[in-house]
Amino acid sequence: MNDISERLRRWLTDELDQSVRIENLRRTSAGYSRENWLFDATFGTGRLSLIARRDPAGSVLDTDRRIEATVLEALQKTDLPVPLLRWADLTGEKVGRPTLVMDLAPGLCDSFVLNGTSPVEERLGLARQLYGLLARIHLVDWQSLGLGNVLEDPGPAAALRAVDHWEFEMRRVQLEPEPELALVIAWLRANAPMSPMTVLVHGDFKPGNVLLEGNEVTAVLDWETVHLGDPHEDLGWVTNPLRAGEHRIADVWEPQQLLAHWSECTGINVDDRSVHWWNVLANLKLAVIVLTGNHAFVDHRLDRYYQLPVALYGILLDMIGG
Amino acid sequence: MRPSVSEQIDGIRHVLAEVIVPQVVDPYAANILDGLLGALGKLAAGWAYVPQFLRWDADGTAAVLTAGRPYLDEGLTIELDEAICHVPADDDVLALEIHQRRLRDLLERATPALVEQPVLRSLLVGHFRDRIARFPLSMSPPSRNPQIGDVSADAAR
Repeated sequence: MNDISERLRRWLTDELDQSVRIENLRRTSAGYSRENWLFDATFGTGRLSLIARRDPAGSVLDTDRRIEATVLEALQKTDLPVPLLRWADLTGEKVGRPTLVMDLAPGLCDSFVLNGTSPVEERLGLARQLYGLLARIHLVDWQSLGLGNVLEDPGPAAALRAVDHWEFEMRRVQLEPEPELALVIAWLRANAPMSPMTVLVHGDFKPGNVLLEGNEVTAVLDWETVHLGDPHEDLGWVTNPLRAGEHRIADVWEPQQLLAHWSECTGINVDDRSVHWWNVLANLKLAVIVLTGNHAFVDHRLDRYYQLPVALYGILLDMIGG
Repeated sequence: MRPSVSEQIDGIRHVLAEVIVPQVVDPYAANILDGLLGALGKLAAGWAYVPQFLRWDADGTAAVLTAGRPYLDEGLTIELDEAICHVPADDDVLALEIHQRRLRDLLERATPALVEQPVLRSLLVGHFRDRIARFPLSMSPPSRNPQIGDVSADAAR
């Protein structure tokens, strides 16, 4: 901890061009893919509450800080609530590994806020706000923001491109053969839908990735998997039956209501078959994330250990009619 | 062998929980330790079923591949024939692990061809579902493993 504290102190002293002290530095256990360090930087009469998101030695997900930083900077020009990116160390020369330093946005994170103890009407209002926010992300004019220069547009073949990507990731990290996933991949390839349009896809939209003050969203977090693609990808992620406890409110905010609300907000029709296909892709992605974590664990690059995702394989077999 | 493997894992887990956990004040370290204790618990409960699972899985995988043999390319059939000619003894767990992995590799490569045939697809999926139910280190206890006297009692401790 002393090491990162000193590295942050030197880095921010350079950036602010004055002596900086790092206080209250602590690592949070939230966020499984990046190291999250919270701290206060004090300088002269100034004080900033910040978060440093540093690439870990090993992770459940390997993503690119350069893309995340560019998207965060671009989104500052929109009305979306995103964290303010202060500084980026994209090469790791400042703190050992690539790191983004952002303002610590106010608010609390609660993954299961939609199934909390507040009255159902209140939670329903929050659900509308949250998935309306997802719609706003999809309506971002990414071309005007210049994001076409850093993000690749997969066009109508977004689904097949996603299968290519996750199969490549699986091959890269698998410790042993995974015939169940080979079956799922064969199904995905045979049934891939065409994308109706290209939008900005968050990639991991969930209540656990927003900050709330009362019932107001103050920030959408974790843009590390952001990319261009089919809007059904995010819809498949948030309606994944496996994640129902995070995204649904029994009887009043089921996938039907969520998708209707999103469609109303965006003016885009939802294709139910596409959503189902992306549900399957979402669980393939979760399986590969677990395999990535276990690969890093056996290499002593990750502190967490996950059981093999065999239960997830059962869910996937059900979803593809196996 | 006393303490048995399960007793040793359980003892280590107990010491960690009783002696180390109360001293860990850093929230990140406490969270990681909590996860590791859970993993040790699952290992204590499931390790004894691993050898028989490997044998069952290797045999089941070989059966699916043999049924699908007419649809495999020449290279795969040669590898399959070689694999099923060299079956290790039950008490050589490391060799059994290598054998099972070799067959699973063949099955992964054969899957795109097998799923084209409805009967084979059904056989393949049936094997996968059985495997999920028998998997010894999953989140819930194995449901279809035979009870094996001392070992199961030991693992349940």
